Amino acid sequence: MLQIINVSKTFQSLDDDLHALCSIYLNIEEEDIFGIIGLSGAGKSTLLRSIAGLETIDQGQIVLDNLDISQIKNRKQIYKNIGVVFQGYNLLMQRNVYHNIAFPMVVNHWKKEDINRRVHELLVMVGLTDKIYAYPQTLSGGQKQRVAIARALAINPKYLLLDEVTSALDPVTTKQILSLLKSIHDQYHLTIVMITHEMGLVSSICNRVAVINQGMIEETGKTDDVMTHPTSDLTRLLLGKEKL
Amino acid sequence: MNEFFQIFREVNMLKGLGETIYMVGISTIISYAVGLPLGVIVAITDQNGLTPRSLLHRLLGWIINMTRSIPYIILLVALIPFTIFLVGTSVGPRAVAVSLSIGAIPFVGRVVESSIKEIDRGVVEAAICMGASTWDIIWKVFLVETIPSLIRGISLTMIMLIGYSAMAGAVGGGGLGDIAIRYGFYRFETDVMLVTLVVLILLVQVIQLVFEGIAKKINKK
Repeated sequence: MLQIINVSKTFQSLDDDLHALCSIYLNIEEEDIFGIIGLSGAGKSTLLRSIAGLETIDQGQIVLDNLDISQIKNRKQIYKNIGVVFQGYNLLMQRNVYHNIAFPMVVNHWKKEDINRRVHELLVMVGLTDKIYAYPQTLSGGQKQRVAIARALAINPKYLLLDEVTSALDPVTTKQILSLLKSIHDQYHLTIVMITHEMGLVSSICNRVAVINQGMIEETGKTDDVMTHPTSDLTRLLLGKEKL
Repeated sequence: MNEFFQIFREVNMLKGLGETIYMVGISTIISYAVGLPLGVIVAITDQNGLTPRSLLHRLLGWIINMTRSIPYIILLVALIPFTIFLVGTSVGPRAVAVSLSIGAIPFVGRVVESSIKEIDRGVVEAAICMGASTWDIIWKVFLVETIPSLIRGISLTMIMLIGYSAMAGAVGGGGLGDIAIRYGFYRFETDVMLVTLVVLILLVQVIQLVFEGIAKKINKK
């Protein structure tokens, strides 16, 4: 279970401080596909980056399986439980697909034969067996994102954090990636936290959702409930039920 | 053409070319051996680097800038006592290699630093999220992702060192610079000077072509 307890984060600047997260509370249950939706600049990426340990928080706790991970400096053990997929893929451009997927296993000192077996398993899972020796530059956006997903799953994490993973993809590829994520979730019983600004994605894959606005949670609940009975103006706007 | 080869033989330009290649080769190896870790340290200790260490970063940056701002010919003279201490002489290609290496180290450091800083921050963040240590990121991300620009940096360094080594000819450093000074400047033998120039230009072109070719071949971006 992932709990976000009273988390706040302010970016200091000379002109004006930016309160990116203001007392956020969230409970993400095991095997949830949890969507965090909001407009640009709402704080959703900061929240995900804070969970991933890429941002420090000013206040509060991020509790992963009863362990407050927000204050832990050496996160190597924590990263064995968390896989992150980024909007921009963030692949190693000078390494081929095999070595990109193998990277987390190499840095976690897996044996060569285990790495080899796991990479092949993952390539079958994401449907890229024919691209094993291809370099990222030669892949399409959807294929790059599949490699990034395979890489994030390499060391069998329990939690998968997805940062706007389909925002650079066309609708057909987006559908394929969502279907892949759903099947991975069902097969491996992962907990997925997904950041997006598209309500369509939330409705098609997430069982629970939180709507974030100006660093605060506007509403949270089961996706169906939030979709059918939105309580905030922003949710209605995101659903297209309210005009700008 | 025949005249070109005649002059080439008469002034023993092959020996001069060999000495220049020796000086430049040794100095490139030494400057990369020291400049590569130096550049990595400068990059990772930056405010936005992997392990920010403001004081160390500023100190190294200051040393690099200070060394780079000394004209090579002055550095060469200033380093004579150190060169004698190290190799027992202040003249000849071996002695020149000492000052060439020291002159090129800060340049290589900056080449390495700027190559590392060009890597997409997201790639480094992804590596962190996979449990990579600082050491893993240096070896498996920085050095792998920057290989093409580091190879281009080798050609830049060598071409700069060819220029420096020619200057060293003025103080008995040997090599093509020595031939150009002795024949072209002291004896006004313009034809020897021109042949030396052509050989230097050809040497620079070959280095540029070879390293650019290697960089292009291995660059997968």
